[in-house]
Amino acid sequence: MSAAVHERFVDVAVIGGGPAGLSAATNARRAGAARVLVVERDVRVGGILPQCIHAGFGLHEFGTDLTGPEYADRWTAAAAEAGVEVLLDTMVLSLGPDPDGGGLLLSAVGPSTGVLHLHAAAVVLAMGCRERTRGALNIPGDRPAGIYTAGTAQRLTNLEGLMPGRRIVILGSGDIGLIMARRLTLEGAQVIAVLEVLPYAGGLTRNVVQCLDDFGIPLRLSTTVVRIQGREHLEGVVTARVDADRRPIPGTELEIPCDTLLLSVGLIPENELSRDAGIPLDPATGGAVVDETLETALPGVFACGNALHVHDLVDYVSEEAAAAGKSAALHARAVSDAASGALRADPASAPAAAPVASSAPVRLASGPGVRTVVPQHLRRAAAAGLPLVDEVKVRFRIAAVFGACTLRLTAVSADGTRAVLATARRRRAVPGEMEDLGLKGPALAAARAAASIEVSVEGDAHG
Amino acid sequence: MDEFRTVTCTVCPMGCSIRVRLEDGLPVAFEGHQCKRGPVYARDEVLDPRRMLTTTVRVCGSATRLVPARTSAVVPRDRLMDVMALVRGLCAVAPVEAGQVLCADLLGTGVDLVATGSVPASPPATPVSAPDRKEDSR
Ligand SMILES: Cc1cc2nc3c(=O)[nH]c(=O)nc-3n(C[C@H](O)[C@H](O)[C@H](O)COP(=O)(O)OP(=O)(O)OC[C@H]3O[C@@H](n4cnc5c(N)ncnc54)[C@H](O)[C@@H]3O)c2cc1C
Ligand code: SF4
Repeated sequence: MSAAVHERFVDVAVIGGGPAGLSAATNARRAGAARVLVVERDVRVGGILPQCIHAGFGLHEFGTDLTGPEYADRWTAAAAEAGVEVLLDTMVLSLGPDPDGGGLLLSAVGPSTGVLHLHAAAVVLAMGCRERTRGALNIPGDRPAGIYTAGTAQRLTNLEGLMPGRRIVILGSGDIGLIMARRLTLEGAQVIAVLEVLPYAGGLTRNVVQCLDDFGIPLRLSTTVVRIQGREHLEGVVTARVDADRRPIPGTELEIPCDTLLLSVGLIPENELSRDAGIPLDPATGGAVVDETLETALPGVFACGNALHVHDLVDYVSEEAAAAGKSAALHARAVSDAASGALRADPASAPAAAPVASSAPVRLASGPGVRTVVPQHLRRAAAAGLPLVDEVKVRFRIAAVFGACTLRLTAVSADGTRAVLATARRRRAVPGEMEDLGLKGPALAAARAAASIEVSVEGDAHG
Repeated sequence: MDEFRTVTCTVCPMGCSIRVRLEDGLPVAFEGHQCKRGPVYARDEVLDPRRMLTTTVRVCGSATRLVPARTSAVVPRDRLMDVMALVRGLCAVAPVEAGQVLCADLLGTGVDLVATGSVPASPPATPVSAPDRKEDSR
C-alpha cells in the first residue's frame, strides 16, 4: 500500500508544541473542547525552551525562578493532565478552509505519521519565530564557516554538547546574545566583545551585568561589523562605529581576529503557513492581524506566542496562548452547535454564523513612540459562539528608550474627538520589554464605540 | 580612607547605577538608587556577590548527550569558573530525573548541582536495524 492518507477529525488543532501551543491546547481542553491535538514537527515538545537552560522563566506565572526546561516540563505535564493529545515529528504543510464542511483542513507529514489530513473546527497558530540571519544583514565578504545565529549556537552548546568556536564575537546585544556570551565563556571560550549598532543594549540590564560585566566582556555600543575576513573559515571581522543614522564612520575600523561570529539580531514570527493560507499579516509585527479573541482574518484560525508577535517573557506567551486556546474552544463549539442545529432544523432557517457584526471592527493603531500593537482590531459586537470578552489586554512595543513617560490608549471618534481610555506611568521604558495596558468596564465599552484607538507613549526619548 | 564602587542594581528593570562609599572596605553610604531595595542589593554585591549557575552535564548511557543543571543556591561569583572546571569533568549516568543531585557540595561551597531535566536510559544510537515503528498505513 503506498502513501495512504490518514484522515482525522478534531475540535481544535494546534500547530506547534512550544509554550504557546501547550498553553493554547491545555486551555482549549479546560474550556470544554473534546478533541484537542497538538502537531509538533520536532521529536519533543517545548519549542525553544529545552535549549534555554538559564533561569528567568516563570517568575510572573509560577512565582518562582525556573529554567527553560523546567518551565517546559510544567506545561508538558499540564497538557497531559488536561487530556491534550500530541503528535510529534509531524510538520504541518498547509492550512485552509475545509472543502468538505464548515471547518478547516490541515495537511501534515511525518516519518511515522505519513500523510495526514486533519479536519478541525478551529486552529491555533503557535509556530514560534525564527532568527534573522546574515542574509537579512548584508555584511559584505565571503561566506566562510564559523558564522551562526545565537540560537543555533545555543542549540549546539546546550543540546548537542558542541562548541561553535573558541574566539568569539557576538553581533547584537539582545538577551539571547548576552546569555550566549556568558554560556560560552563558562564553557571555556573567549568572548572578545559584544557589538551593538544601537546606542543602548537590547537586552535586560540584569543580563548586561550578569552575562558581560561579571566576566569582563566589553559591550561596544553604536558599533557594527562592516567586513568578514577568511575564505573557508572565518578568520576575523572588521568593526566600525556608526553615526546617528547607523552609517559606519570612516576611520573607526578595527580588525578583530576571531573564529566565530554569532548573530543575535532579532527574531521574526514564523508565518509561511499563514501567508500561504492568505491570512493577512501585520508588517510591523510580522504576525497575523488579530482581534481581541486572537482570531485572524480567516474565521476559526487563532494566533498566539512568537508566531503572533515576538515576546521577551515566556510567561506572557503562556497567558496570551491561554486566551487563544479558549477562543478556539468556543469557536469549535459554535461550529458543532451550528452543524447539529442544521441537522435538526431546516437548513434555510438554521442560525448559522449570525451576521451581528455589521459594522467594521475598531482599529488599534500605533501612535507616537509606538512600533507594534496587538490586537490590531476590537470587535464591536459578539459573533456566533464567541461572546464579547470583558477584559482586553493591549500589548505593544515602544520605538525608543524613554525615561519617565506615560503610556496611553486614546479613543478617537469619527469627528476626531479624543478621550483617554487607559494610562500607565513608567519611570523608564525600553523597546526590549513588551508593554501592556488593560481595558475593561466602561473604558472597554467606550473603546468598542470609538472610530479607532491610538496607542502612544509620551515622555523624553533617549534615542 | 574612603573608596567608591559603582554597582548596577539588577533588582528591577530600572537598572539604577548606585555609587557606594566604602570605609575600610565596608559600605557606608549609597547614592543613585531609586528605592530602598537598591542599597540592600548594592551591599551584598560589594561584600559577597553571588550568582546562580546554570549549565549542562554530560550523560553516559543514553542517546541524549547532555542534561541541563543548576546550582541549588547562589554560589560566590568568583568561584564560577572553578565550579565550571569541575562540572566539565562530570558525567551523569542515565537515567537522570529532574531534581536529582548530580554533584553535592561543589568545591566545599555547600551548594549542590541539581538536574533541571530528565534523561531516560536508552541505548546510544545504534546502526539502523528493524524499525520498531509500523511504517505501513493503517
Ligand atoms: C533562540 C531563542 C532563544 C530564546 N531565549 C529566550 C529566553 O531565554 N527567555 C525567554 O523568555 N524567551 C526566549 N526566547 C523567546 C521564546 O521563544 C519565547 O519566550 C517562547 O519560547 C515562545 O513560545 P512559542 O511557543 O511561541 O514558540 P517556540 O518556543 O518557538 O515554539 C514553536 C514550536 O512550533 C513548532 N513548529 C513551527 N512550525 C511548525 C509546523 N509547520 N508544523 C509543526 N510544528 C511547527 C516548532 O518546532 C516549535 O516547537 C527565545 C527565542 C529564541 C528563538
Ligand atoms: S534601586 Fe530600586 S528602582 Fe533602582 S534598580 Fe534597584 S530596585 Fe529598581
